[in-house]
Parts: sequence; structure tokens; C-alpha cells
Amino acid sequence: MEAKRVISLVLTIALVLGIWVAPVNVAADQDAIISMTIGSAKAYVNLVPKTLDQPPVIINGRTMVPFRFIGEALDAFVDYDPTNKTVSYVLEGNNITLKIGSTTATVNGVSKTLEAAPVILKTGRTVVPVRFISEAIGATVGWDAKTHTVSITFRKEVVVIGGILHDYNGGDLDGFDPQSNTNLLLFNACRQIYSNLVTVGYKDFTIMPDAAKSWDTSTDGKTITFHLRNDIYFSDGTKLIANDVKFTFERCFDPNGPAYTSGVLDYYLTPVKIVGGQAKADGKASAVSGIKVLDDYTISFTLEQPFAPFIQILAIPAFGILSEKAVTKMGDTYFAHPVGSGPFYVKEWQRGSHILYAANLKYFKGRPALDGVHVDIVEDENTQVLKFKKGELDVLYPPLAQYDELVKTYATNVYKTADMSYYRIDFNIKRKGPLQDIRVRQAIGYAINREQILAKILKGQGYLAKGIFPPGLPAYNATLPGFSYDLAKAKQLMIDAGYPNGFSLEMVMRSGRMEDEHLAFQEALKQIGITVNLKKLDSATYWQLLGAGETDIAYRNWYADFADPDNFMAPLYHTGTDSNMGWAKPEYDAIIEKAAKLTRMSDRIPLYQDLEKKLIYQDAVQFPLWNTITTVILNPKVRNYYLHPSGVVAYYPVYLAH
Amino acid sequence: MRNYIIRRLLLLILVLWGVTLVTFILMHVVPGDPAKVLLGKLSGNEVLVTKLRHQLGLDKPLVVQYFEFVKGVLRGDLGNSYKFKASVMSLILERMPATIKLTFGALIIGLLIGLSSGIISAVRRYSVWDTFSMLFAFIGVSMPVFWLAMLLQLFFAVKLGWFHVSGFEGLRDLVLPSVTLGLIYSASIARMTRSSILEVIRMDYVRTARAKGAPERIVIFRHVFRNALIPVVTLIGMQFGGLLTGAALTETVFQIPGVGKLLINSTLDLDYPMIQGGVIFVAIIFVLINLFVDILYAYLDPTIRYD
Amino acid sequence: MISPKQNKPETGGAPFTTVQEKDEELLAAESEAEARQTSMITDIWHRLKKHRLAMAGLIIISVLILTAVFASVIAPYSYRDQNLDNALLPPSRDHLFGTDQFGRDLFSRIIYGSRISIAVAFLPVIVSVGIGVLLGAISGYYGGWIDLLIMRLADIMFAFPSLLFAIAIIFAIGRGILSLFIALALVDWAGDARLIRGQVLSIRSKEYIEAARAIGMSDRRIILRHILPNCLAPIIVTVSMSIPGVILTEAALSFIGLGVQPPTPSWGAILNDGQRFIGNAPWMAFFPGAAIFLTVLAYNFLGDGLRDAMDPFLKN
Repeated sequence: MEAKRVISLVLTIALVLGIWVAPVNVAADQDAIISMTIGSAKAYVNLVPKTLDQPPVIINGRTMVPFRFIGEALDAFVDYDPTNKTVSYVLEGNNITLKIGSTTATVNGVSKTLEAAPVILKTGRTVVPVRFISEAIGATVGWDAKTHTVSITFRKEVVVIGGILHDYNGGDLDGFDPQSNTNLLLFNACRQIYSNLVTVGYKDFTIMPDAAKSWDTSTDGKTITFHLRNDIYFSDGTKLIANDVKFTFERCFDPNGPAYTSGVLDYYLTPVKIVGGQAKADGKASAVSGIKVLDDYTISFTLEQPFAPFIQILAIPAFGILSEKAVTKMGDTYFAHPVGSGPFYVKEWQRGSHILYAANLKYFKGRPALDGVHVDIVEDENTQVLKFKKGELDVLYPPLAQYDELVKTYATNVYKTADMSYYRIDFNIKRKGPLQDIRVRQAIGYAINREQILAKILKGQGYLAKGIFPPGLPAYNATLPGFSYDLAKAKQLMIDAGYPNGFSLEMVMRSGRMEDEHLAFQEALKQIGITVNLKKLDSATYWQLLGAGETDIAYRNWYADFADPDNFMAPLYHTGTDSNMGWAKPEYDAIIEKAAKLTRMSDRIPLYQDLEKKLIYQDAVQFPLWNTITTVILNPKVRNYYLHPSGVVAYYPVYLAH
Repeated sequence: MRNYIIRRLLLLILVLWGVTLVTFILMHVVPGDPAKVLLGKLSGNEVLVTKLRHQLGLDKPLVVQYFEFVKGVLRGDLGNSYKFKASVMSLILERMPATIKLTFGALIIGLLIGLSSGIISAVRRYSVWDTFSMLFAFIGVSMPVFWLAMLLQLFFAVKLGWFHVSGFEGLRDLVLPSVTLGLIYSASIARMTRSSILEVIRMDYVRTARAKGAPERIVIFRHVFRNALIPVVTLIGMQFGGLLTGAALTETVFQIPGVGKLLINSTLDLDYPMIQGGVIFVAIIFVLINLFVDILYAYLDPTIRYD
Repeated sequence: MISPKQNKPETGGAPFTTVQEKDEELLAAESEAEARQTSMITDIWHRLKKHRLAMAGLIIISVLILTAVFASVIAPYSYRDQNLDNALLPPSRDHLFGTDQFGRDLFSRIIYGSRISIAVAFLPVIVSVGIGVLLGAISGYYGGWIDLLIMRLADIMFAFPSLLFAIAIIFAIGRGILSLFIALALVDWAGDARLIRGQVLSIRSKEYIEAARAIGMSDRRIILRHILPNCLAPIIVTVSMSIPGVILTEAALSFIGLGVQPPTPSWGAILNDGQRFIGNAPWMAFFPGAAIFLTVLAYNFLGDGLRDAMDPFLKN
């Protein structure tokens, strides 16, 4: 694709979704005007055309409008609860919940009567009476009888500048060197303090320009040239130029650098195959020949072969652009004195206590609304809850132990988002023993009541997985048959495999991490005579035993770093990764490699979906469990705190209402 | 006495050497490989393991590693934490103030409550005060420390809102943790004080003093306390060992960035240099306190000779 | 207890007695001592019986031991069978202590948990106090280089924060109930040794010890027959203080995941599980916490009663 087309596409998507990072004072206090015509799929949001999958309709003389579309157009948090059959908005601190088929709705906990009940139409979309919903959110409705056009005008709250957001981390950060780790804590920190070449949307993985204002790809697909903005300054006052970008990426290949052993190189860059990267990593070259600075604001990357997910990889927080000067100057202590060009900078960091981010007033996209973010380190779940209840925290990810109660108490301020995650049971097929029999692996799957564990232990925060790819990811396959709990079948499979009396298995687990599910699996497998000996370990030993294949089964998960099927395939099923306990097939490796070289997603998807079927349904190398949902409870004054499927929250758009 | 102190100081060095040896051996008996620990998920990658082992100097013979470690300790360099990448010394010093304040607060509260209630109940034996303070002591001794911490947290921070629930921003945040720790310690101090006084009160010299017609106050303060304090001082000295453990748990519940919490977390993360260095550091403090306790012994009980 | 005044003239008058004669004298003295100690024990028991708190403690401990032995008979449910539909039920007639997050009956889990908790509290304490008393007595009695060696060893041990050392031992020898026992037994003795040594130091300088030495009593006998009985009070205080310490250390180890492996219940593990649910299922933390508290309290009552009952024997 041509660069210009990429940019304009991105711009359009960004504008339509309302995630465009325009300076705060321009975008936010505008009116939002949605206009729709009865029976027409064409709609406009602030004069930008948009296609409806469910047009407005008239039922019994009442105008009914699509619920989700309006919510998303207004930037509300939209939720559908299938168990209670309710749909809800959280918009600027107001919670509106409607029940399908009922004329009673609740607005901020108070019951209200609707002129007509919401219904789910054939398209699977919910429509609600326009009059009620507009009044509930405080919008005005216009009706043009001639064109049958309904327009909803919503005056957006004025973004408030200033204030400190009080968030928390469940653990200690190791520092702010983006290349030193691949954990969520560090990613979260880097998202605030660094700029990348490209970045992603606040709610999804839409690629957007960041330090690079545009980029173009050569016709052979191997060279990508980035054009940098010339108005970006690091927090130490120096200008961000192409040399800093080159420095950042070459540092990833430095055999004595942090990325070499942290996984940043292994997981993300090695598969990209930048020309000359391996030579640098092997200590045979001092520079990476494939990274070329053309001028201060132009840099190109040459790959050995086209690699579809390359641009998306650049948005991973691990590739925050470093200041060459600052890193060189600080040397070994850089991790404690980070210098970035993001919307915030680290003003104060006290290990084990807190991090204070302060607004970068010279941020090139405009200053953030918040003056700063105070991130407390609170390891203990009870303390997290108590602090939130006491108002010392504005944010709470409700711990499972108190989930039901908290979600009920703070019902009007609960937000959810689907993660791009995949949880599964791993089988150690390399180890001699009953697990080498596919029937035993299948029996284990059928013996686990996933629905019950998901509902009771994980509090319904997830969807049952049918395969590897979670919903929302290209290559997600809704047509897979899936699995259901079937104890009789499981027992029969055990008999067929020659283990009517069962056997015992080892299963490793980390203390304090997902313990309850492990115990539930232990009990489930007892039903088919399998004794699971749980080994509760520290993280370090856990990873070592997993890596060495010294366990029979394991309960594991994977969260996407970027929204590409390759990010599930290569790290989980390619030879040489830690994730499959040594299990891999050369012919599957070939498919994974081939798919990554293709540039058109539509060409790649069939390859991935086919491989997914083979892995899960034909070979049963894993038993898929679920894809998770993240829940957060916010202080009512917090606005625009968007959960991201990767788990990384951007503080840039957040503001605190009065 | 002076010779004794000098000799003790020399022995201190011996003890510290023993501590380095024991710690080093323990850390190298531990089955985990630090390089693999550091690599976590990547620990299956042998190339990286070898590379990192070399970087960390783990491929050198154990004896060499030990001598390099001791050499570093002598220069005040306890190595670099694997997890935090910063020097162990700076990490400990960074967290020392919080722990010192907490321990000090707990000790003061413990001594105030413990000594006074112990004395009252011994002197006014079988009175309501005795029953009350001993019941209190029983409860305090029997209370799991994090259980008490949570109860105090729930009542004083959540219900009454007098304090922050957790965190450490000012001295005010140390009140609840210090009270938690202090209450636990006051209980054992009270018990020890009471039983010790009751024991001494029956001694011949006390009876003699009384028979001579010395006023009760003088008997109690001059004759009884001085002698009764010996086991109490031992106990307080011993408590310092437990104090750090208690402090670690209290620090965890109240989220105070102290040394105790740091060390426990490091042990769980298998952060070898952090554990080694931390233990050496704590060792110095304990040995100094023990020395101090021994000198107090000699001062309190002149019948103990040190030559 | 032996009065040094009785022994001194006899031995003093026979400086050149043969080995055999010496032994006979000693045997006579010791059988007298044994007889006195037997009467002492009966006497203590009589006094203890009048001590209400101690009797309450003794009853609680006896009940606990019986509970541990007959757990499978008493417990109405299995300690491990899950029923997720019954999760987090408050206490009721069906579930006396309520249920946990898996719908397991807490009453049954606490009944079974008494096994681990009592074993964990008893075995390590006996080993630990045994080591401590022995080393402390030897150290205090002999003084000199033995004292130096033992006390330096104690200092080294003492320099390790107990929880940290226990964790290190568990890591070094691997997880499991045995390593938990070993770790708990090895962390505490240094404190006991110091305390006993302090007592022995002051007893050593008493005349009757000089006397016993003068009659040629072997050091072993002096330590066992004269010094240790005189240290009984602090030993009892030590034991009664060690048991709660060990129970609480076990709870702390469970807290950081180093206790028994699931689904085996121990009070520490249940309590720490319950801690997570304190906001919505306080019974999960309350009952195991109360079980620990009550047990520890019972040991303290008994220890205190024993101490009081022995009071008259500690006069000299």
C-alpha cells in the first residue's frame, strides 16, 4: 500500500472512532451530532459518514435507534449483559441501564419508565426508543419529518485541565528502561513516558502515527521508510531525531544490552529479521546495516523478507524511542532516570511505594489534561479495595475474591473490555507417559467444566474459547465446533486409552497466581481418576520447570502484544519457543513462516485458521479454555480511562470532571 | 570490660564471616540457577543462559566467586540486585529509614505498654489490673500479626478514617503499623517483666532489704527492677530478630517500603545478591545489638564475669 | 532439688574416695533428687489443677489433639471435594463455619487442618527447644571456647531473620512438609540458647554448683540434674512462647506459598486464603484465625499455669 493511502485510512478510522489524538482543547468540548435516517444504513457523526449495521426503525409508532452505535459515537462505555439481558451506557459518569423487553430502565440507580421496551432485532443489534435514550444522556433530539431523519445532539462535557489521577500497580516496577522487560507493568509505564514510531488507539489496536508522521513501503515489501515529525523534544530538552531511533533499535541487538536477555529481542525483533540484526547480536558488527538514517527526520528499515506484523510490532511499548544522549550519559543507571518524549515524565519514583508521573506540558500532541498521575504500589488485594473505598484510589480492578460485592456496590461505575487473551491447558507431550495418547488429552478436556469455572471462579469475566484466536483478532474463527463438558465421554476416552483407573500427573503453579483455577482443575480431573499433584512454586522455579518440560500439564495464558494472528502462532507453536514444552512440528513452522511473509491479511487468515484446526482439533496439543474480560471500577469523576485489550492503559486522554 | 568489648568486636568480624559463608553456601545449594531465574520464560534458551552466566561471573569456580563476594563486602560493595539492577547497598539504605522508624515506634510502644503493665500486674498481683493486663498480654501474644494488622486497618482507617489505609507518605502512616507491631511485642515484654519481677521479689536480698525496713518503693526500684530486667533485656534483644520478621509482614499489609518486605520479596524472587547482601547487612545490625545486650547484662548483673 | 548444704560436708570429708564410692554417693544424692522431683511433679500437678486458665488451656489442647486424631470421624464433609454452586456460603446449620470459594465445608477443613497445625507446632518446637536448651546449657556452663563457639554459631543463626532463613532452607532442600518441619525447627533455637545461657551463667556461680563440682559430679550430671531443673521456668516460658511463634511462622510461610501443598488444609493456609475474601466472606478468615488464636492462647494459658505452679520450687 502506498504511504499516503495508509495515512488517510488511519486518519479516517481514527476520526470515526473518536480516538484521534487532537489537542485536548479542540476535540473535546465540541458538540457531537449524530444523524440517521429511518431504514437507511448511512449515518453521520459530526458530518463524517458512517455505515450502520442496524438502521433506525419505527416500531409501533416509536422511533427506535441502534443502542451500541450511538454509545460508541458518543464515546460511552457500552455493555451488554447476556445473563440479565440488559444493555448499558456509562457516559460522563452517568449510568443508564435498559432491560430487553422491559419498559423500566434505571438511570444512575433510579427507575424510569420508557415509552417502549428495547428489543433485539434480527441483526443481533439492540434498538431503543430515541426519545428516552436522548433524555437519559442529556441530549436533544431533532426530527425532520420530510427526510425521516433523526438527529441527536449531545453537548460534550468540557475537558477539565488539571488534577492528579490516583492509580495503582499490583507490584514493583524494575525501572523505566523499555527494553529491560516484557511485563505489563513496564509496558504501562513506557506507554506514558515514551513516544514510539507508531502507536495504537486507546481502545483497540488501530495503528496511528506517533513520532513518525508517515511511512512508506518499498515495492518488494522489504524496506520501510519512516518520516519523523520535527517538533518532538525529549524531556531533557533535546530534539528527537532519526539518530535516536537508530540508537534505540540498535541497542536492542546489543549483546550486552538489556534487550538481549529480557525477551524484547527474542520475542519481537528476531522474527522481523532486520538486515544485519543477527550480526550485531552475535557481536560480529557494531551497527545494524539494515537501519539507515537518511536525514535527521527520515529513517529506513530493511528486512530480509517482508514481515506483515512489522509496523504493529513497532507500537509495542518496548520500542519507546530513547534519547541517545540520555542513555549514554546515564549508563547503568538509566533505568532510574528515564528520558522520553511522551505525554508524561517520571517526576518521582520510590521503589515499593509510588511513581509520580507529571504532565509533559510540551508534548507534541498537546499537553495531557491531567497534571499528573500518582501510581501507588499496592500488592495486597484487600488494601487495594480498602484504598479505593476510602477514595485514595480512583481506579480499582476488582479482585475476584470481592468481585460480586464490588461490582454490585459500584454498579454505575463498572467498565469492561475484552482482552486479546488465550487461556489453555498445555500438555507435555514430549514426556513419556499417558499424555502421549491423544485420547487422554481429549478426556482431560471433556472432564473440565469450563463454563462453571468461568462463571464461579472467574466471575464470568471471559468467553469460552473454541480455538486459539480470541474474538476481535483477524483470523478469529466463529465457526469452530468448540468443546463442551462431557464426563461420560471423558471416562469412555480414558477406558479406550487403557487407563480406566487413571494415573497421576504433575502440575506446576505459582503461588498467588491463578491458584483457584488450578485447584478446580485438580478436582475436575479427580472425576476421571487422574490424581493431579500440584506443585506450588515461586515464579522463577515455575518458569524453569516449564522451560525444561518438568511438568505434565500446565495452565497458561497468552496476551497479544499486537493484533496479528502471528503474535499467537509464532510465540506459541513455532519450534524453539518456551511455550509449547518442546512440542512443535517442522511442517507447522513452515506454515507460520509462510503466513508472516504474506502482506495481505486475507491471504494469511486461511493459513492460520487451518493451522489452528490442526493444532487444537486434530493434534490436541492444548485444550483451549477461555478468552478473558477485564473489569475496572472508576471513581465517577474519572473520564476517558480506556481499558485496552493489551492491558496497557494510556493516561493521555484521561481527565477528571469536577 | 573494655577488653571484653574489644574482644567482642573482633568476634563480630568472625560472626560476619560466618554469616557470609552460611549465606553463600545456602544460596548455592539452592537448586535454581540465578541465570535461569533472571531469564524467566527464556530460561530454556541455552545460548542466553550461558551468555548471562558469563556476564554474572557464575561460570567461575565457587571459591573464586566467594572470594570476590567477600572482597566486595570489605569494600562496602554488596553487589547489584538482579531484579532492581541497582546496588544492593543503595536499595537497603533507601528502605532503611522506614524500617528504622517502624521498629523504633514499635519498640517504644512495646516497652511503654509492656513494661508498665508488667510492673503493675506484678506489684499489684491478683488485682483487677493484674487480671486485665495479663489477659491483654495473653491476647497480644496469641494474635497473628497480620490478623491484628487487618483488624486495625479495618477499624481505624476504613471505619473511623483516622489514617491512610496503607502506603507510606508521612510519619502518620507509621502509627498503625507501629501499634500493630508494638502491641504484639508489648505482650511478651509484659509477660516476661511480670514473671521476672515475681521471681526476683522472692529473692533473699529482697527479703533482707525489706526486713531492714527499706521503703517498698526503694526495694522495688533498686533491688527488684535491676535484677528483674536481665531476662527482659535478653528478650528485647531477641525480639529484634523477630522484629524484622514481624516488620516484614506488617510492612506487607500496610505497604511500607521497608527492608523486611524487600528481603522477603527478594527471597521469593530468588534475587541472590539482594538476599546475600541484605542478610549481611541485617547481620551487622543484629550482632551489634547482641553486643549491646551482653554489655547491659554485665552492667545489670555484676555477678557475671567476663574474663 | 538438692540442697548444697547437705552434700558439702559429706564430700568435703572424703577427698580421696574411690571412683566406686564416689558413684555411690552420687547415686544416693541423685535418687534423693529424683524422689524430690517426683514429689515436685505431683505437687505441681496439684497446683496446676487449681489454676483455672491452665486447666482451660489443657482441655482445649486435649480436645485439639483428639480432633486431630479423629478428624475423619468428626468432619461432616471431605476437606477437598468442591461444589462451586455452594461457594462462599455463610455459616449455617449445614455448614457450621460456612464454605470457601470452592464450596468446601470450612468446618471440615479446619478439623483436618488441626492435624497439620498441631504437628507443625509440636515437632519443630521440641527439636528447636531441645537444641536450644542443650547448647545454651553447655555454653553457659562450660564457658570458654565452647561458649564462644556455640554463641558465635547462635549469633550467626540469630543474625538471620527467622522467616528469611526458613524460606532459604525450604528453597535449599525443596518444598514439602518435611522441609517445612526442618525449617521451623532450625530457625528458633538460637534465641532459646541465649536465654538458657543467661540463666545458666547466673546459676553457675551459685554455691551448690560449686559444691556439686567439688564432690566430683560429672558435668553432664550437673547440667542435667542441677542446672536444667533450675532453668525449668525459663524453659517452660520458652516452650510456651515458641509454640505460638512456630504456629505463626507456619502461617506466614503459607502466606507466601511455602506451606503445605494444596488441597491439604492447614490453618495458616486457610487463613491466608480467607484473607483474600475478608471483604465478602469474613468467616473464611475468622474461623481459621480464631482456631490459631485459640490454640495459641491455650498453650499460653497452660504455660503460664505451669509457671505459676512451679513458683514455690524456684525460690532458691
